[in-house]
Amino acid sequence: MKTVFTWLYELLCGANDDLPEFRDTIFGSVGLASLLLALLLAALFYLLLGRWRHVWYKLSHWVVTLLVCLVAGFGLAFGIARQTLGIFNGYAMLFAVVNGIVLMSYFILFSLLFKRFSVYAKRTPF
Amino acid sequence: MRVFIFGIGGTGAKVLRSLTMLLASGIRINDSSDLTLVPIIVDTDAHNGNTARTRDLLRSYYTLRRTFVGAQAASDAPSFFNTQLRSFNRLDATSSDAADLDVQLNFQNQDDTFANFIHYHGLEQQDKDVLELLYNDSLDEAPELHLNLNVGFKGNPNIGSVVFNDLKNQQQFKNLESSFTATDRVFIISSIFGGTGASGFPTLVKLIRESDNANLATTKIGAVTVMPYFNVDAEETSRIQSAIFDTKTKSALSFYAGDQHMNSIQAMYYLADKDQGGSLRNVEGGPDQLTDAHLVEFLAATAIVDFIGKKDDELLVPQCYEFGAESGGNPLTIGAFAEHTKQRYFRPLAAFAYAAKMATDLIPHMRAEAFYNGKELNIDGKLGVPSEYQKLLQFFAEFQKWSGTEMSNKDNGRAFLSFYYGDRDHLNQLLHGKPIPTGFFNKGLTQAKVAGWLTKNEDGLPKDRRKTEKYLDMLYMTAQQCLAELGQLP
Repeated sequence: MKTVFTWLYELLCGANDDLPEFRDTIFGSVGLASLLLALLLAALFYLLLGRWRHVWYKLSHWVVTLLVCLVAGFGLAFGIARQTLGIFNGYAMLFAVVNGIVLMSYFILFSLLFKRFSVYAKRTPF
Repeated sequence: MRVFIFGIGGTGAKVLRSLTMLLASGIRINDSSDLTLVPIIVDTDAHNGNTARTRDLLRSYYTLRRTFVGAQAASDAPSFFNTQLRSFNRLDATSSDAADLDVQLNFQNQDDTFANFIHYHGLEQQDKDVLELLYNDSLDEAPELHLNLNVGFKGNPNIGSVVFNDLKNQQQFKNLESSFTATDRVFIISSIFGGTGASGFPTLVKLIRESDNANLATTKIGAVTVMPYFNVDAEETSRIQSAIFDTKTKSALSFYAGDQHMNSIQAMYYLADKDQGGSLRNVEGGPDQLTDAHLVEFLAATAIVDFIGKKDDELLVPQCYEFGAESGGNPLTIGAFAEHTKQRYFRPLAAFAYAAKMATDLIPHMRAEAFYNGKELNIDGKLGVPSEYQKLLQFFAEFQKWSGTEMSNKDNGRAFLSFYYGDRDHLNQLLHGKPIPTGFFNKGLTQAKVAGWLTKNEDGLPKDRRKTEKYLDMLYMTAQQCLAELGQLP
């Protein structure tokens, strides 16, 4: 799992040989946490709210959730990188932005997977 | 079980219109899954506005049932448009999938004058003299002998009874006669104070009782005869005068009382309404005779349901029935009726009113809902059947007009306030006299709440059903939820 996340983030952000903590700790933990967070948000959107109440199911709701993913992905990477490194440099910034996009992508993929199980959001986003 | 329902004249057609609305609302008439109604409009005034409107509505019902319910669906199914209709001239079992519904009995020579109809010009002079004693032979003022039959009998039962007697020679009637079975029944709708109904009713009963087919001759007959319930504008030149409605009624009633065949009718329903303040436009016949629906016509339609719902052993002895509301008042509301009437007739109508409002006003604005999507019901694409979908919306619109506008017309005499369709974004005020309570936390039947129900109901339907069937089922289920939210009728 860690290898997969390392491969993914180095593909998107490039390798950083000066800070081996990224490869050793950050990529793995951020990657797993992001994946689980996207899964949680998608389950919340499609399986919990999407089946339970007719309150959060429209395309506009989905877009807001997607933006939440972006912010959460950024914040997650930012927090873990800063906690691990004690500093926040340009590479960490790039990583945080990329992770926001990656978390959004996970959410989109989970949306495609989960929407068929929803009642109110089964045709969201399309 | 088949029931042949003859709607004679303008009132007959209007009562059939009310019956069609009741059937559309999904009323469960009896426990028979194969109940089939055979509506037959009997009117020489074939282009009469009221007749044409009912004919079109019955045809719409037939088409909509085929498309949105399924031609083979049971008549006691919990669904709108549940009761099966069939054309009187396509009675064999193999023709149940006929493309259209033929409901109008054709009179031969209906474009002739009465004189031509009875071959007046070929008669001996002494016979002509007798006829001229019985019928006004003027050409201009109140013609009887030279009355053109294509506008009906203009309130002349003395002409109608002669013309109707010829029904037994009509091929369509003969076909009907020959296909009549022992389990079939007949119901006849007429008014007693006009021409067509007053004369057609006893003549039809006579033809039935004297039929060569024993099944028809001994069949169980139900009938509703409507006594005066509205006025028409007083016009000196018109043959239709409200002032003589009562006289004509008394005269016909005294004939009915002494007639052997009329006294053999198993269930005779009488309806009348003395509170006639308003006045309708005086039109003698033709396309312009198109009047608003009236509460009394609806109550006459409930007589048909009542008759069909009766078991055979309840029809052994001829009985007469009248209808009474629990309280009077003008306008009348649903709250004025007995609990049985509310539950049996107004509850299904209320469900249909909710469905009509949802289909015409709310659903078109629910583009964000899952059921609206092209991969689900495809509402934008009119369910893939644009013509039928449009027809359904037109039916709903017609129902709204019938129940919300026409019956509340003050000119009817007795106005009836049932449903109000004016609110755009909720259904809280749909029933007159019973608003749905709302508060800070509960906004009642809002568009959002209804949208949630519609979506959930559609999602729960079997995936392999046709879009059209799912659409109507979705409406039906959601309408039942609206009724549950409403609680007791007013």
